[in-house]
Amino acid sequence: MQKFIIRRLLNLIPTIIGVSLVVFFMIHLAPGDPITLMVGDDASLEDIQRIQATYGFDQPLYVQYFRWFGNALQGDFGLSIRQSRTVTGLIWERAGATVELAFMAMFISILISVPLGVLTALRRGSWIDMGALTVALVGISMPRFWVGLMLLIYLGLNFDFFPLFGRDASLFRGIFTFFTTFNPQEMIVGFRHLILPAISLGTAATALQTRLMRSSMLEVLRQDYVRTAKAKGLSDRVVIFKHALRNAMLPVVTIVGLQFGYLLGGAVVVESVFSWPGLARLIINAVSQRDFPIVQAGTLVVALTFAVINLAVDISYGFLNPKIRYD
Amino acid sequence: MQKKLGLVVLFLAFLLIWTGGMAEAKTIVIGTSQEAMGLDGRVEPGVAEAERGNTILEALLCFNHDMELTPRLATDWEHSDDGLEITFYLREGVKFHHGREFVAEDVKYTYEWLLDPDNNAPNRSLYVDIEEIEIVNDYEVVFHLTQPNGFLINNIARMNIVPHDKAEELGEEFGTRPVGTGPFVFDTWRRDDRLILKANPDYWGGAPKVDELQFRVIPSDSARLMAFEAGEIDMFQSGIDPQEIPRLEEDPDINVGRVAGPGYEYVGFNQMSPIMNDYRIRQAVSHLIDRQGIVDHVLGGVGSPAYSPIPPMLPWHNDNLEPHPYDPDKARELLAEAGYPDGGFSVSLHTSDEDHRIEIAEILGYELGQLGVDVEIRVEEWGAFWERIMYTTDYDMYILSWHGQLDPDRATHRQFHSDGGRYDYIYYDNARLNYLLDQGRIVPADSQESLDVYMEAQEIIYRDVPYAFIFYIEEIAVSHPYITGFEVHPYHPASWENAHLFDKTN
Repeated sequence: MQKFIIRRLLNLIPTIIGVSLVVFFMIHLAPGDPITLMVGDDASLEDIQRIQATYGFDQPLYVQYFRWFGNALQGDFGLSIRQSRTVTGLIWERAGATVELAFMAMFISILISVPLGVLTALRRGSWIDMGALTVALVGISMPRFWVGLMLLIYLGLNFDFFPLFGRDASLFRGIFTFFTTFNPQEMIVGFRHLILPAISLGTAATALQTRLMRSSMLEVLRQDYVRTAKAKGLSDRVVIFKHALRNAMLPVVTIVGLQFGYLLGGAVVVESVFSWPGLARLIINAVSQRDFPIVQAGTLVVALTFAVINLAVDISYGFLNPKIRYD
Repeated sequence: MQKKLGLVVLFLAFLLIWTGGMAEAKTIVIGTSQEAMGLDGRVEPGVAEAERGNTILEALLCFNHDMELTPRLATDWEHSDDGLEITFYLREGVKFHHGREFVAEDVKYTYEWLLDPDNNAPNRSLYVDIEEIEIVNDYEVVFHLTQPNGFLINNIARMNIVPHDKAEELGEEFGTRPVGTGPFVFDTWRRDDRLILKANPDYWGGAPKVDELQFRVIPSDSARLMAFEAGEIDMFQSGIDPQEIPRLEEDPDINVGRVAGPGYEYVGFNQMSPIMNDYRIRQAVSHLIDRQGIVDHVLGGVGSPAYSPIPPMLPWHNDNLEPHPYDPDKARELLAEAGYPDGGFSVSLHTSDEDHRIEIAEILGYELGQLGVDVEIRVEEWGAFWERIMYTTDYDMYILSWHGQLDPDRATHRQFHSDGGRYDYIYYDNARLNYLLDQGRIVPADSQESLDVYMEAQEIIYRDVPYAFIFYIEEIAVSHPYITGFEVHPYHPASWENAHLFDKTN
């Protein structure tokens, strides 16, 4: 197991280098440059060229790349071109909001998909099953921004409980505050703002996981040991929850890990619809302004997170899968 | 089970208590589509930056709702007879937010900083005619110019004065927590979320009527409108889906403010293109633009047909002209005259990815197609589109806009003078027009000569069609009736600069 982890960690190195190359050259080779976009209507060409030179944009691209990557390896992502702040600081400030959003989306999706998947498997062919499958199909098919807008129109506009935009407080910190000071205000404010964006982000994942849970459960229920358990005279409840569910969960766990990465990507759309001040919006705005340092660092961080989560899933799979554990 | 139920009930009770009845300071919340990059107009000249910055910092002069210059930090100003000096008399007793009095030294510092090439101020070239700034005393300052520049004063009205001590102390950080003389004081800023400003009780123009001003960023147009209708934001300007406008105007609980703005959208023709080089073809294109139809059906009635680069609100605007009529037969004749009776050539039409521009491009592409011209419409992301127009000649036609045309020189010289600098991306060269535009800078701005020069210039542009003007921009803002003291400003960056007069009466 240790060897496996070390090998996988070493595998991360070429991944990082590859991602850094792709990200750097894609954004730099795209037409449009940050200074022209920054200076607006009135700058002269000479002024533009002088400003470009102070940022080193007059250097050959490979020189710029090595300078940037060298600094990045030491944890220095440089200064944002437009925001005169360190990129590390900007990313750190925003990452929390996006991680919170993705976690909540994942939490909601598990909360709904696992019981629903089990229920539909047990009632296969019933109207509940049919209904849930249809809803799941619709859920996978609906674009996230549309789900977001519908939630805003039907819930946000009709119930004061759901704010229409923004993030007034962090739910995580609110929960922490609640347990230390018993003041729930921050937690509630955080929850109210988080719930609709999290639902719209998590809808597709919920639908996918429901279907996966259902088929996995059906497969497990057909297996011999379940029949044996039933034959022993155990109650349905014990058979399902004690014996079948644990095994049926395994593929879902794998998918949940991967989904987390996709949720980070999906946050791009959801953060715009709900004006959520997260990492995705930081990166998107930086792309349209060609704020290279933010785009490069932001994308690298997200890619790295994705790779690390993948690794964690692989490792946890090894721990969780009884076949591996009991071999 | 009982215990769990108890916990849930307790939680819900908390929820009810804490979500209801929280006392709040009197706050006006302004929605915006775009976050500002910084709040220092010296380095960030965009609209999003200026509309926020102008509530914290102030310029020597400002534009009123009729786009006339009015005193702000200067109480009066005068040009010398030879046009080489402008004297400003500064308002006395004005305090910066950190407590120090505003004096002539701050004016001198601001402009000298701006003119120093090492500071990379993007708008430096607008002010290069300023040779020296002389402090007469704390409340009087003279700008010495290298040559007469009758329109420099308009640019001075756009540059906010920074306190020299704080600007030096904060350096680049100044744009992230500026200190000014304005009605509101910088408090906190969480990017892409909110900017919170507190009332300045000592403001020289009278203390604001509300305690707090917030700018909230909501990038999605539909979400912003929903937040407005739900009362979560009190007002916003621009970025309203044209289809929504009739409904909003009928709603008695919403105030829709509209005013003609100093800008327009147009089709630009690349003179390096062998086809677009022919004025008859350019005229033909202009006659294929159904301007009123576009205003009515693409823009929801917001805007008006355009025919000149100088906006109608300015005295230099030529009222004798009128839009080229939509007339496909005339266009066909013009094409025939140019040697293309059945069309038979292809051109490219470029635009950025704004919905209404894409629609206009499609309409124009269709109209030209009817005359046998093959139009390739290419929609590009803003940065890529901008780079193409700005730095390449790889296009025939494009759709773009000009905003903030505050004087006839800004509205014509950069665009149509063959030596117009980097904005001359249509490569237009007309000797008579060049001469007129040069003259326009030399003659006094308030003279009959100035009017004559620009009247003729507009006639040439009208005939020769380097641009086919589509529509004049109309500024549109929505606010709730409980907001008083607000009137939409033709110049968007100035919209909230008098926010100390706004009140919230609910």
